[in-house]
Amino acid sequence: MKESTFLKAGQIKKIWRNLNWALILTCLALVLYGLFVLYSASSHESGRAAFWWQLGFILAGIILALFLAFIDYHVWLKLAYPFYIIVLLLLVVVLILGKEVYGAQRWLFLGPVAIQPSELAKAALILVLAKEIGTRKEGGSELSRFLRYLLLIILPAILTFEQPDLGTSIVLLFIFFPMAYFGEIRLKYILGFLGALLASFPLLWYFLHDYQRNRFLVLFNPNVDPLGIGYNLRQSLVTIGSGGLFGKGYLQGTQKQLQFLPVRHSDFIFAVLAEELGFVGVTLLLILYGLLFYLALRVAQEAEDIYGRLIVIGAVSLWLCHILVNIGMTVGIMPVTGIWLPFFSYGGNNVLLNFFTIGLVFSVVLHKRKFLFYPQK
Amino acid sequence: MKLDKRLLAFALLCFFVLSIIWGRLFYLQIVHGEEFRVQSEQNRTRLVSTPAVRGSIYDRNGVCLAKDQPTYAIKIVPDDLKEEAIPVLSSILSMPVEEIQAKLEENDLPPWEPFTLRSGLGEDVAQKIEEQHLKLPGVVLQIEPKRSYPFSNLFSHIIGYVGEISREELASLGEKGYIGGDTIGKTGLEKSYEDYLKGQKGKQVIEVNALGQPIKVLHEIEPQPGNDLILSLDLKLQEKARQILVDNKMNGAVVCLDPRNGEILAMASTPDYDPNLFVKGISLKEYDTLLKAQAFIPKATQDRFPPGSTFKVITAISALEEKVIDPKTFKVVCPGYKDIGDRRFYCWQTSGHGEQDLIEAIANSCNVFFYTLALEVGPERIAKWARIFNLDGYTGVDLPEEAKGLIPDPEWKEKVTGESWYPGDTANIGIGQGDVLVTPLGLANVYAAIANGGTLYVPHLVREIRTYDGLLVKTIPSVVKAQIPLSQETLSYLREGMMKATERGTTQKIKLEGISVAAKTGTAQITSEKQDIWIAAYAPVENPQIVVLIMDEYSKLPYGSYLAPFAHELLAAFFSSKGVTP
Repeated sequence: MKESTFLKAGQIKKIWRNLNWALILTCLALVLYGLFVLYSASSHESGRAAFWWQLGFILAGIILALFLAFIDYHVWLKLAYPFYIIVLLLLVVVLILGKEVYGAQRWLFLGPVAIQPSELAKAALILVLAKEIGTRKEGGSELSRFLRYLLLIILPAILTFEQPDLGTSIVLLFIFFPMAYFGEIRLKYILGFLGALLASFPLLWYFLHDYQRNRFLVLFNPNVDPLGIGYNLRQSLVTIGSGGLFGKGYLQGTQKQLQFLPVRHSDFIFAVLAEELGFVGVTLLLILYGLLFYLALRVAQEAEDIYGRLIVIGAVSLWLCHILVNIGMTVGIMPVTGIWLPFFSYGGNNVLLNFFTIGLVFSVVLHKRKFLFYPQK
Repeated sequence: MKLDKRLLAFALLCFFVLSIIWGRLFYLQIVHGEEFRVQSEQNRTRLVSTPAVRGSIYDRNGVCLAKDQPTYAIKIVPDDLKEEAIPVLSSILSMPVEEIQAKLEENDLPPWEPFTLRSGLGEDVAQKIEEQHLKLPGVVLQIEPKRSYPFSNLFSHIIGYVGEISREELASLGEKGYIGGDTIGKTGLEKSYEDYLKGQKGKQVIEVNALGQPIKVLHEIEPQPGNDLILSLDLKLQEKARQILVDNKMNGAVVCLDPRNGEILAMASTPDYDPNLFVKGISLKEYDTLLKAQAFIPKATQDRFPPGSTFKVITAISALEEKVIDPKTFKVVCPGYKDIGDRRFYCWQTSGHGEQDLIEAIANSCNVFFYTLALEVGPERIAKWARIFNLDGYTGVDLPEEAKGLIPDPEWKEKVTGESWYPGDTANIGIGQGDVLVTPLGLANVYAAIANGGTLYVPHLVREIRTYDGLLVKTIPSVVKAQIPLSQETLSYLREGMMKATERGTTQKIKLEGISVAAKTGTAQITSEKQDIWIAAYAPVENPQIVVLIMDEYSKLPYGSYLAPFAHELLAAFFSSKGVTP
């Protein structure tokens, strides 16, 4: 397998021909659309600093994705467990030493670089689940396999829940379920566990902080916490709703309704899009996301082996869950959490994680026997 | 190409999720889009923060020394401002149109955010704005507490002043919930007790009309007023202290301490400044003048001076505690000078003091005696005892900034100047000259420790912290910095010497009727005509209740003993106000 990790000159043509151009163009369209909206959302920052930083993050992300893509994903799977263990340690460290931002300990500062271990946890979980589920050890019953997979996610889920970062705990669960499903675990186990989780919600409720409870309650009663989250949600709805069919026009959003948000260009960027470009603009975005899912699932279908398929399923689950939780929060059907919108939200950690997943998907695209330099035995 | 069964199921899930979001957006933007549009344009609500009233500061008898007063601020929301409003505003505020426009351009807040055009306005201006509010879209009137210091210069260095938070402060304190435009303590107690004084800002969701002016408050979290400080300072004594400095055109410091607990009863430094200047906005010229005069550096705590003969108590203590001399037999004949190496060191009384024992030498402040004593003890042990009394450290007073003294010894000299130590250096530090430097507060604290028998307190200004409605939050306890083991014998020699000092020459003017006083004066020659002069005293000797220290930098007066009448005034004021006959 070693020789396969390096390119030979004659193979470049082949790669070029067989690259998944539709998927590349879809990703590129999403990146440009995201920058276009961020430019507007950062217009009141001094010198649009966020826009230029984001551009830098994206360039770094593309380099990361290229690096990941051109190396066989089996190599990355070999590193899955060490990576996973390092991330677990970082999650423990952040609980002890982390810096509080907006009331939660999520950041680790290494000199000028701020790392969010919870983002790393998502990346590590995709790899480690693909490795574990794909290997499908013999001798275990379906239930015991399911419980073993579950074990991998419980620890990071609890550690992020403790930060408290409820959003990431939810995301980790939602990466897990589809991957388990593709690992020949029958739906009845998955739905059974999901049911148990929902049934234990009252118990979970007990462990939530007041402000987290408010984030749920406000979905049913807009008068909860009217100076805090209730106000935010109300304003978010007015902002999005007032966009109408065609929106108020690019750069024309008054954003007045969003003044309360310290995270206008990151967590609530969807509201800016919806206000300025209207229903047409958001429909275009949803179509692009749909296209991304369709093309990625085709990659999964054609993947060389179960490992490749699982990696793609993990990536799509991550995107899907983030889209649901982030947009769902701004339109008032999901509780408010600090979950970013793929290709749109500002931030170094999330942009890099996004390109990490894209890089893995393209590694699966490239490393197929019939296309490329996959080892011929 | 067809997707297999599981992939198809997953694809359906994706489609389902996107559809739900799409459906919800259709509901918000198309079905209810018009309603939301109207809401966003007309019935706008704003989230504003309401300032908290800052805690007041009182003297020990409850006289208010600093408090917030309601004033009005005119704020502008650039988004709502109409061009026609500017001339109207200009005439009400008697502020040129160009100046208003310049301020609008300078503003770097987002255009929906109200920014302050003018603050500290009175009721009259507020009323005019109120009357004309229809012609003033985008102009909002806000009640704003403004700091006032009724005694202006009297407490400048102690209380300090507040001002708008700076960019640097915002960067380091942003996590505490400060935002741009907030008021923050800049110096003095306003700074060191900022966390107690500031209170908690409130929040309001207000509904505004089409002119951007508030119509009603929809939701509110009331601001929490800050806590009050009750100081150990006594207004009467403080007034006296400053009056002495100002009336006699001294650039100096006065410190009055309670030796029983380290409480500061009065502390004044000149030159000083009026903290109200900073509240209403100080002009660059005014600021420059004050800066050049060094009005912002309180001499009592942030500057240091050669202590002269007031330091001789340290030399005496080191000799007695290290048992270098037997005070009963040790005598020196003072001919008016002493030759050390190839240099001649003079006594301040060039005709000489004749034969001196320790008590006489303290009373007369005989330099020749203390040159001799210092040479006997040696510089290391003198420095050791000066450090035991913390003369080279910070006193720990509850002010944000403080200087510390300098106690030289051979090791220090070698390190700093590269030169070796000479016996002449020892003689110099023995009488508090050479490189010895102390802060007036640090030295006053030494005399307090001598007065109370060896307890070195951390001097402090705040006695109690109370809520705005008077509930006790915290009593500031007296903190003992060090318990210095001084023998009864040492204490009685010092006491005798310093009591006798009040029988000599000009120093006699310190005496009070019926109350015994111990005092030590000091004169540190700076140039042939200028000297830093000192007097330190405590009373009553048997049961000390107050330590008084006066220092005058570059004094026109020749000797520290000339400060005796002023020390007398302070002591008399203290004991008369306590109902004890002076």
